[in-house]
Amino acid sequence: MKRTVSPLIVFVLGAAATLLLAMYSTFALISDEARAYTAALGVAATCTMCAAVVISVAMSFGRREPWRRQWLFVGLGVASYAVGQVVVALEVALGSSAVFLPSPDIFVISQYFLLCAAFIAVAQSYRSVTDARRPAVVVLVFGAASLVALWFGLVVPFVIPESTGPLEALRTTLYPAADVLFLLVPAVFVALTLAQLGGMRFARPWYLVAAGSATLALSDSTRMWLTATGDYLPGTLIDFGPLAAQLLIASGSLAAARLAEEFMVPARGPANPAVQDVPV
Amino acid sequence: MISETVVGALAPWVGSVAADTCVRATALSVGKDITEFGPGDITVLCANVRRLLTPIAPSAAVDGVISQIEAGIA
Repeated sequence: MKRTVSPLIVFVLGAAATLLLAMYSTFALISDEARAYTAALGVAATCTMCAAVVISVAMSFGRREPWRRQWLFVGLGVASYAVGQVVVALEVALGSSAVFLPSPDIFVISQYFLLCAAFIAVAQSYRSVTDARRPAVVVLVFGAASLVALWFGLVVPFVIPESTGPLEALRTTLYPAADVLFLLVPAVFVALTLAQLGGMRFARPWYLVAAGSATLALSDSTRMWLTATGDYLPGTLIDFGPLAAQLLIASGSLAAARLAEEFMVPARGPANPAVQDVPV
Repeated sequence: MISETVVGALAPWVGSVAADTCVRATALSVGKDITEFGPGDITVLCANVRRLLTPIAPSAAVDGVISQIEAGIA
């Protein structure tokens, strides 16, 4: 591992900036419109910082190291989500019809695919030391049960009767389905696979990424369900789920960096040994 | 005992099950019991440890764990 910009410094700066923004908007120092803009900007800034942290950690591993590829998938996923939040902030600031902006959904869904790819890469790397059959059976049952619950708990009673068209119904259904299939199922699978090995330290960063992905999936699905039932209130705790998810994922990358740094030998003495032998 | 040293060095990082499996697999590959490992088997043991760790750990950590094993045996 080679040293790059300290991810911890980037992370602390991002978190501090976000906290200041949150305090600024929470204490009603500005108008409602400005608060919405500030909140969107704060989320975009935090996600951008998280992406910078994860990508800088990934790039610090050698080109041929499997961890570089795995953490790059994660970092690009967080970056994709961050771009989506920047688009949301621009929509709030400029108005969605003022300029052409791509749909933030594209970037948010990209994160699902990239995190899923990372989990597949991690599961492959543990193939030689774990038995994947039992976790696979558990997540297949869990995934199927979740999809059935989604169908009968959300789609049939709320989405189909209340949608204005098939496209809207499809969009409302696809998000929670993707939460289950691309985030929750792979995260649970990787967590169960790693749990077979006991308390191994190399697995800890991936537990944090799995926890982040599960948080993202569960908060998004819950928000969808609350929206469908008419109980959703903007600005409540559930809105912080996706942000907490990005922070958990970034914490995972910091844990990975710390593991690698534990083994780095600090350079001692002058680079040229001949310098030491110069008589005074 | 060499096998205990290797399992002891590996277990905190990959768990005791994987550490034990790695040592037993190495013993099987050289046609010995884990109690019969000698200084001549260290190269094969370290190669197997490297193969086990490379996909799941940063290379600095792989080198570090192998150094710990070699130091423990020496």
